Amino acid sequence: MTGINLITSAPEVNSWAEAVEQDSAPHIQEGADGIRTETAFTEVDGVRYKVVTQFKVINKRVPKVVADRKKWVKFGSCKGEPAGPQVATTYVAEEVEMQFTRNRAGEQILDVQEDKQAAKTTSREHCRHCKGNDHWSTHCPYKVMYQLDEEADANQDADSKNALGLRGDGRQMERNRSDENTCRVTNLPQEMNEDELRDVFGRIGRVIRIFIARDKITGLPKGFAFVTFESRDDAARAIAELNDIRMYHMVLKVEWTRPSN
Amino acid sequence: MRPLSLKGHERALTRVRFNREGDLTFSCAKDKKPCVWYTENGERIGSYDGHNGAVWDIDVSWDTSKCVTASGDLTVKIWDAELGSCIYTINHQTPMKSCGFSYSGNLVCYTTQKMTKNLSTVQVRDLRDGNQMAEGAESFFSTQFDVNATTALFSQMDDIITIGFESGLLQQYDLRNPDSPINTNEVVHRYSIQDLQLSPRGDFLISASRDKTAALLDVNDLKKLKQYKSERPVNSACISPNRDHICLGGGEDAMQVTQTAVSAGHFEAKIYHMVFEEEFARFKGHFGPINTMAWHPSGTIIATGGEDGYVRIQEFDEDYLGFTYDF
Repeated sequence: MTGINLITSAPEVNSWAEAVEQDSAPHIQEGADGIRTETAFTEVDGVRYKVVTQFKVINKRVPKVVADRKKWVKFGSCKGEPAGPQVATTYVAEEVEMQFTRNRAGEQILDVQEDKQAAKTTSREHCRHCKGNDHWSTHCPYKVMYQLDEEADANQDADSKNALGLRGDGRQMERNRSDENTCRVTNLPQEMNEDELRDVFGRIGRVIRIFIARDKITGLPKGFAFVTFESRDDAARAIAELNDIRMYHMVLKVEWTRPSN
Repeated sequence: MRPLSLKGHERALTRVRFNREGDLTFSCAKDKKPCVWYTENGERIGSYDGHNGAVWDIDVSWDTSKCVTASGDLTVKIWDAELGSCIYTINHQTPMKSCGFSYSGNLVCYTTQKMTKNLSTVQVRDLRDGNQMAEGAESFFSTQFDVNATTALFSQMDDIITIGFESGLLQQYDLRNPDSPINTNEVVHRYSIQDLQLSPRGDFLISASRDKTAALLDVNDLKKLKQYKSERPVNSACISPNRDHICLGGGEDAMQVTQTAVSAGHFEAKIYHMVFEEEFARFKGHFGPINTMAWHPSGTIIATGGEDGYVRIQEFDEDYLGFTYDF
């Protein structure tokens, strides 16, 4: 049995010169190797288009019922139309690529667009610990320190509350004081531990607290620490004296902690 | 792949279906004329003229001798598939949203909408019985519901129908007992069921819902086996006949479509792995949401019908056919 397969259909605008030269009646050309070229004309919004459709005539073995259905006579809106697809109702659309979002192992390979957009629209990343806008609170490198601070604050709160009965203000003061006396040490060599650091900073003044930031999983230092002195003067002196000193293979950088807002 | 784009409808598509061999594609839209096409080359064979309102559903019997259409003009019509002539017309007081043939092609089920004092119903008629098909006759099976039944189909031979509701409820009825359902699943979907399709082997059902998921259900007890999550409402889902793949189509609501960019609207069809429940591929095509889709019996073609009024018949290339999961 004979089936007709559509290969290409490219509507092209006729220039008037061509239109004069060519005959404007639809015609069919039977080429070699079963390629049939049909030329038809359609008019859309007053503009005449010439539609050249190439068919490949192929023979195919199909079930008998399917072959019988190929002989159906057109009915309804298609009554009287010639055999083959009509340009008004059928055309070959543009090439579409199948986009794979996962590879064979099931790993995501294509970032799904809308997830990103959804994230963008909901809210921007904001850290409530360090007030930074480049990460979430849960990923904050200073998280542990701030959490310790909060705990300390809570304890002090409980004490001051009994004494003064001023919860909110007392808390604010404590927080500010400890922030004020803290210096940030960056460019810290990995080998340096808390005792060594205490040794170095203890020469300046009384150190209340030392915190070395460590990776949550590996436990390796991240290369920065916070040192809190009892008085602000000591902290200022530490910054003046210990900034730019050599420690192992690194040059320490000591500065005020970034103000928390 | 170069899909065939079929422009036979003036309005949004409501259903595309293949016949059993897959050589014909049936489509219906919110215009008045359901169409039939050759799948291979996209040639339109004819249109079933006679409805006077949106056509919501079309189904074809196993031997492709008859079609059934459900329409908003308060009729269900049975057609001679080859000649395009109307054989029977079933009238009702309210629009009909869904219809389907039984396995044998002798029974027709359809759902009617709830409107004023009329409750939503699901009814079944026997085409062999002249009394039932006569004008004004009653159907032999009818149940009433307070919520709209959106879709119904025969899920097991000629005995059991599965119904999806606007509330997200799913129920199965045995035709011998219209009083109570044999199975109910009210937990799997939270919003309206848009589409129910039977797997080609008849062992699974897939339900597509506005709650942005599609679920694979056991045909015997309606239990959820798998659930596929999408980012947009799912209007239609179908099961591959020869691979463990599921295809989901949907997109933003037609009412909100003008407010959405094409990329954000999510008008792609998405292919999921049936077991792993994860999307692994997608393909673009429509300018609006996909309202309906069907997988060709050969497994290499998917037909989709969109809100944009086009039917697209995409035949997959080696990219897809050669894709297998390593596990």
